[in-house]
Amino acid sequence: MLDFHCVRTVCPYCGAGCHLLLEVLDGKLVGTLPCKEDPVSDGKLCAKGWNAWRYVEHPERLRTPLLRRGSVLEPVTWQEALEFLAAKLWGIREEHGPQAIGFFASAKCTNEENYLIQKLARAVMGTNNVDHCARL
Amino acid sequence: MRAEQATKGFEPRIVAFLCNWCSYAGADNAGVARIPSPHNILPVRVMCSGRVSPEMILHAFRRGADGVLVLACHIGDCHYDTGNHRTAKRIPIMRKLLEAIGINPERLELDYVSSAEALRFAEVTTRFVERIRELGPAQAELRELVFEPAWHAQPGSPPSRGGS
Amino acid sequence: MDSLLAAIRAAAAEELSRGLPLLSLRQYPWGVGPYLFRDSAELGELRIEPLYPVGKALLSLVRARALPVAVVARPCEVRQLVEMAKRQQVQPADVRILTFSCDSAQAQVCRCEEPGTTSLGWPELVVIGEESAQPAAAAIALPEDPAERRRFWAAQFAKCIKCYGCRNVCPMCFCEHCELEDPLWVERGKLLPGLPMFHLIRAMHMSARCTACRQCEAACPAHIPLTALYDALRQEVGSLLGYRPGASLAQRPPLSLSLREAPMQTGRH
Repeated sequence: MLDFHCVRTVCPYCGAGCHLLLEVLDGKLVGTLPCKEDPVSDGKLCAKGWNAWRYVEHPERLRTPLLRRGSVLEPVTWQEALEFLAAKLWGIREEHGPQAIGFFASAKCTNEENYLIQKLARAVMGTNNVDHCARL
Repeated sequence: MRAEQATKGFEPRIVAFLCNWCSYAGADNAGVARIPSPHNILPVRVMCSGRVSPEMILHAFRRGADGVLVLACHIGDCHYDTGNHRTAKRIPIMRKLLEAIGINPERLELDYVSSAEALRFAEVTTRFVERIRELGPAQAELRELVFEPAWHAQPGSPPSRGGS
Repeated sequence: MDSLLAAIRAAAAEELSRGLPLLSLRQYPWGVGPYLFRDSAELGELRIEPLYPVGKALLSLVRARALPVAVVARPCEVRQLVEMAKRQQVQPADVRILTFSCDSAQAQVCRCEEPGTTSLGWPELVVIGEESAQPAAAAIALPEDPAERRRFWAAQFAKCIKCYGCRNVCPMCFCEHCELEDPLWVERGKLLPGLPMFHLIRAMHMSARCTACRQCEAACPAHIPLTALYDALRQEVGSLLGYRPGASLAQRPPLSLSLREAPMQTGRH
């Protein structure tokens, strides 16, 4: 017999954080409903929220980090990607100083993740160049 | 006629959806028989008046029509038996929609013209053009449906922006 | 209300014991949402708050062929199921309906003209509880003057952010190909989009199928009184064709029928 239930979650698209219900049919997402008990969205969604479930199983969704080698984007492991990134950032810092680096956070991240990125910028890299897409 | 046009300065643009099997042939016969019919009509041939969807009528208004005329076969004469029955029901509802949003429903009309009725084609189109001439340009009404803070703040002042 | 809820749970338990899964609203730990009940032990969590259109969830089940199924449906939702059945979205024999009358307070909230249950010709329909509701006045009065009406709708439609929420939430919007997604009719990516094609097309499409559940208005982030327009067309369909969406399973949708099958009212032809 089929299973059909809903999961309440937060829309990943912007900083407003509207709650939405994901409809799950036998382990597959089949749709979205606005959450009527959410004081933030008041039971309403925008075009992004209504379609927030579609990318979950989209064939073009990125599932691993990609690293450009020559002109080709190659899938790599997270370990490899982060090591590459850390070496590059550190190299720039050594050569040009911390002011040569800027950190750009995202409204799609949680508060805690945004806190961590500014911590990384200020405490680890030593720069105050921190900004956020919601300020554009 | 010419003097009257000059004083009014308004030539209506009418989009007429003509059924391939009746009214289009009727219009053709009117031309062959040299029966004068108004030049304001922009004919669009469709295979059946039932093909004329609400989207097409709205699109005609959006693209600058002052009136839309749908000419169907007489009830009972449809080449596809009952295609025009759907039109006969759809057009009154469409007129109600225009009325509800404040567009004069007289700008949309359904009439019946067979392929043999060249004279009737000329009569119906002439009558409709005259009616729209009385009503004036549709675009002033339609443009008011597009919100513009500038004119909305001052009731009565006409919109200035061109149509879409 | 508590006794009604208890009666609905008892009726639901009966359906489950017959092996029918039951689609209704459930109290999850995080709030209320649609749920397919399969175990009568969970029925204490069954809720009847009018929050979500159960018909929309039912369509997901129909498309997954999860049938037959029982459904707890409000009167407006029963009317939606009737319209869906007439448009080949669901087979009446596949869906057993448990329905109940809304109360007067709810009717006021929904501006509902028909909060009571009626016999609609659905083969398997169980009515629970008593009819207690007073119908509410549906209409939002539109301005008398056409120019005022234009300005009223211009101000309303200008608020639209084209989220398509009204269509997404509507149980009557089940078409796989939606005309509203055709860039020929509804332009994309253009600010001040000219004639409000989206709303006018949608109003025409809703004319003979809107059951006035007002889910679209509840889902509209811009608070556009959409059903004021749909109500006007629904009334025209009523007076012109004698058709009330969802009123009867036997009466077929008039706009797709010939004049012989579904004539217009005399004097209007």
